[in-house]
Amino acid sequence: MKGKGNKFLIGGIIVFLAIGSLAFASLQNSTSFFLTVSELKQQESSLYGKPIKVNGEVVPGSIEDNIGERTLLFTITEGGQSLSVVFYRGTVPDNFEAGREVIVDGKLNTDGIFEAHTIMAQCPSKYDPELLESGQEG
Amino acid sequence: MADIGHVALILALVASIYSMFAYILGRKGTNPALAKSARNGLFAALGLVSLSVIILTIALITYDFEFKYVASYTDLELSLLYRISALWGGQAGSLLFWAWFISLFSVMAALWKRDAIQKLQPYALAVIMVVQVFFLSLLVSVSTPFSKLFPVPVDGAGMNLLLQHPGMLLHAPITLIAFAAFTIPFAYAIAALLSRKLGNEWLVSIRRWTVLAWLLLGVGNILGAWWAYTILGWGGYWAWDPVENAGLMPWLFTTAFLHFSLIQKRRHIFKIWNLLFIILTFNLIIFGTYIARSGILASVSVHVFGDHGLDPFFLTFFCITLLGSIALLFYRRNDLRDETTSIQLVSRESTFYLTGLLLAGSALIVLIGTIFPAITRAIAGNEIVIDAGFFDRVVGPIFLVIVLVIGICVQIGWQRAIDNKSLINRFLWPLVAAIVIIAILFIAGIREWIVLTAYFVCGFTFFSILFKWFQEIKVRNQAKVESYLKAFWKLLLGNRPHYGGYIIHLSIVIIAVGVIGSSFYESHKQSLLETGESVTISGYTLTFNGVTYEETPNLFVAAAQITVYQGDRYLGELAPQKRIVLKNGQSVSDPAIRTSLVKDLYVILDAWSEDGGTILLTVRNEPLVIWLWIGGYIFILGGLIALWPGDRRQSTLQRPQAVGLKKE
Repeated sequence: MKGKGNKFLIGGIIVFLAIGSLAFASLQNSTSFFLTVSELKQQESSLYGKPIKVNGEVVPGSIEDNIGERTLLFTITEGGQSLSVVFYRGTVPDNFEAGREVIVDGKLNTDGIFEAHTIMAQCPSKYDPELLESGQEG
Repeated sequence: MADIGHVALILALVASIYSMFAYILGRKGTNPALAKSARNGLFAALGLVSLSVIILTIALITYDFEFKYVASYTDLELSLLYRISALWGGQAGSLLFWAWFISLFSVMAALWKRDAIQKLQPYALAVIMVVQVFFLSLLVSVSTPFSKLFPVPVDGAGMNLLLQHPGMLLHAPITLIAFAAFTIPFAYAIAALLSRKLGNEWLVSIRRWTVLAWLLLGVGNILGAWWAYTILGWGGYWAWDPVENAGLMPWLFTTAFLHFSLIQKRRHIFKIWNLLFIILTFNLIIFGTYIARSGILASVSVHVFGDHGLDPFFLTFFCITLLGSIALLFYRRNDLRDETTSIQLVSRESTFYLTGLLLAGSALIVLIGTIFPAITRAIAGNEIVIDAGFFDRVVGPIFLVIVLVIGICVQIGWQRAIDNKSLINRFLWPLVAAIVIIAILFIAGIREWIVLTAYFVCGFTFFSILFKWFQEIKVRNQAKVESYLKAFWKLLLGNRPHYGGYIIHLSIVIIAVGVIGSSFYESHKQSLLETGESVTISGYTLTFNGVTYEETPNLFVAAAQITVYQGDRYLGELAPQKRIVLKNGQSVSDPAIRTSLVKDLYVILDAWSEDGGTILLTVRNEPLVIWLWIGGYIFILGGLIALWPGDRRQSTLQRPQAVGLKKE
């Protein structure tokens, strides 16, 4: 009787070990650092070429959309620091605009310019009403 | 009116608190008068919550911008359907909608008469009331849908364009109803633990509830994927975003439960596992609501929920329910010893066990991957983010193994001695079919061994189920001398949960086929096109003929006119759009999709020059995506067949192999 229970237990442990090792092996090359602009500036030289996601706000007036060359240039800022970003055009999220919080995914080049392959603009979710223009809470 | 709604919620809260205590005091069932008044409390709460829902709905329909909620999520331009959908489209409204269904389900649970659960009922209803009190407390304090504006604005802020989509009408309410429905199984699991009635009664009683909640959540997830695919313009349907994962994890744990509970019903083992799965399901729903709203995973989620202030309450409630239920489970561990009977290695029990472990394991991986950034921030200080590829590489293979196990499992009966020879016979035709499929794929030019393996597994399992089904029909056809069609129909009606189960498993394989195809063979290309220029991708040639503009009272719409040819064959016109809301400049892409059974052509207008002579166009080739939606429909069909109310004697208690297989 007891032996049967153990058989199940051992089988279960094997399955979980297999899943665990698969997960561990896959983890090696699928992580990236998540930093804000000021955090990135602090450790800039150690980050060149590594996969990074950077969070900051798009500086108004900095967006330079060059359809002909398929590049989008802009600057993001956070904590008093700013970072120039070049995005070789893929699809820009609909809600990308000046003043929006964005996360750029890519790598930092040695010239200090961040080369993004993906832009994530924070989605104005269904729980995030646009500010009311008129009326006050009463 | 707003004040009436608010007061109704306060009274509903009072009634729920009363019922909660009345059920706790009357848990032994010795005081019928108390039980009756507790039940009246449930009815009163449902009536009052319904009243506030009606008031809010009327306010939404009649543009009553005195309601801050109405002014925040709708405006004068919004159509009736989407005004109604704003009921669950805003934060406070979604909580109200959720609480409404908890209340409705509590009344249904109270009216539910079955001898097996009479002793559990007061405990279960007390637990449901605890949950209801939590939601109503939020609704009358930090998240009220009934605050007012003065002066009353002339127009509202309007609904986000992304939300004006059929997905909003279906995905959000179905998911919320599923979340509410999961309260009932959780309540009965806790009731069983509290009352020490830990036999199979609770398990058997809640099966239909759980299947219903599970089905709704599954449909909700598929609809969410469809919504993301058709509107977000990135060509994908699943990004392993925390908000998506929050809907997937409870579904995986419940799937594990639905399998383990069948073993417990027969063999009286895995009692702790089943309780644990139900507890985890409910708690992950609460936890998912917390992570979706808290911003702790802002680094990986594109969903930002602007309502900070609510998350501490969900976190507290989550900690209390999780720790409380786990502690209770531990406290009762001596009552949960398995009545071990010998289980054969090759049996349905063992394959169900394996399936359950794989499902629970994949859910754990999704959980760890989802909260990984928060963990690394807490431990190492530096936030480390996991990309979607991790989930694909880990969860993908696990799901494929599960599909394989389904195909093996369906051929193996419950605990019956099978000699190897008959086993080989059973697997012969499915194997032949699978080999034929990959041979065809190989000839068609597919060489990636991963894809061939994956489709081999899908083909094997698909035909294994069909073959088994056919055998059952054949047995009946021979035993009763009925035509095949009649035998098929009689079998289906005679044991709907069994055949609903077959159909659901077939739908899972079909969805897997779509996921594999679109994951491995997706391709895309972005091009800069001047008027008259063409781009070619995977056999399609797209020619750009200019941009047209249209202005409605509230929208500016730019559409690129594209002609599509496949080789020399004219296929039609596509017009991917970019829509801009005039009021606030918000823009939404509306991709043009040309669907076929083999592949979708998915076209996004990224940008256009001011003169309209040049556009930046992304063209994506998305193979087999339609099979996700077809699989979704079949999933619903199977679920409806399994759940459709009918002859009780037949439906829930019938042993699957009792019909049709006796002669085997």
